[in-house]
Amino acid sequence: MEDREDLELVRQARSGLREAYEALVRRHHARVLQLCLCLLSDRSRAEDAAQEVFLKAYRSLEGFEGACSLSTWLHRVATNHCLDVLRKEARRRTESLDELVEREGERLQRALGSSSDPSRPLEAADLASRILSCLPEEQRAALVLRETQGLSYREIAQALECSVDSVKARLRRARAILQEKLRHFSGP
Amino acid sequence: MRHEELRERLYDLYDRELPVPELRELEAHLGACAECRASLEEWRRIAGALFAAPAPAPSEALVQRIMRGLPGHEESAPTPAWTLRWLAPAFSLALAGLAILAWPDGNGVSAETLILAGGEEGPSLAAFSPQAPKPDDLLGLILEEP
Repeated sequence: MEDREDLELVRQARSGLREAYEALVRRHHARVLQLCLCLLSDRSRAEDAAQEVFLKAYRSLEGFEGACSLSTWLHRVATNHCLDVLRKEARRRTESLDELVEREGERLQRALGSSSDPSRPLEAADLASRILSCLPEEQRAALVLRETQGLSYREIAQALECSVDSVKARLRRARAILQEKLRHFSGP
Repeated sequence: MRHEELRERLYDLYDRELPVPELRELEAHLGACAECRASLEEWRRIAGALFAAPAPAPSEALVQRIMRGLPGHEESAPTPAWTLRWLAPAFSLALAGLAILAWPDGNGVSAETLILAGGEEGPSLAAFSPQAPKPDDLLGLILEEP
């Protein structure tokens, strides 16, 4: 139902009705922002990225064929944009997951241990972002699309323009890395 | 399937991507394998902590910012308030600076005199034109009898 409404709004937006595109932005901006936030680890940069994503989508609206849902298509545009940003910044990254685990051991224990308080997830939010930022970009993108956006393997493959087997491999590697490094803190 | 093969598929079970026959087989294996159960529980705990932050709330400000950034937006970008606040004093300072430059010797001719020298034709802005006369010529012009 939502997909059908999206398609109608896309049709209207293509014919020049700005209100239709505004309705699409209103429907999808929070999820796009969340994805950008998880990939870029910074609210201000995530908002800049979300704005850029909707500008790119607006310019490419004619190319949207409806082969996947508009939501998946926007995820693709957003992921590609954020991966570009991350690749440009790759040389500036200095913190490895090992260094982070060593430096933040106590906080990790509090966030992952059996006595962690599930009602205070924000306490670990910046730490979670830093941990995710240590993963290779494409593994991180697959994991974020799965865990925060709830996309299926097939939808992730469409968003990342790769095969379903590749998605499964990226997810498996990302999770194996995180389990190996964080196992020490997650015990009962 | 063997233990190693089934263990490889634990994430597929977690992601609810297993076809029913394999799901049944893996569930039966989990009932008997403490190692696989512990591994699955471990990942659930890690994922719960890493992805527990709530999704950002919808933001009308961001929607409007996005719409303003699209090509063909009718309104021009708003001028920041600080620019307007500083425009008047900055312009006055620039005028004063130009007036001082026009009389480097400080010969006592005031800006008021300069403006009044325009006579019936209004204030003279000759001092601010690219072809401005030399200060001495200008002084002569100003002091010239009507």
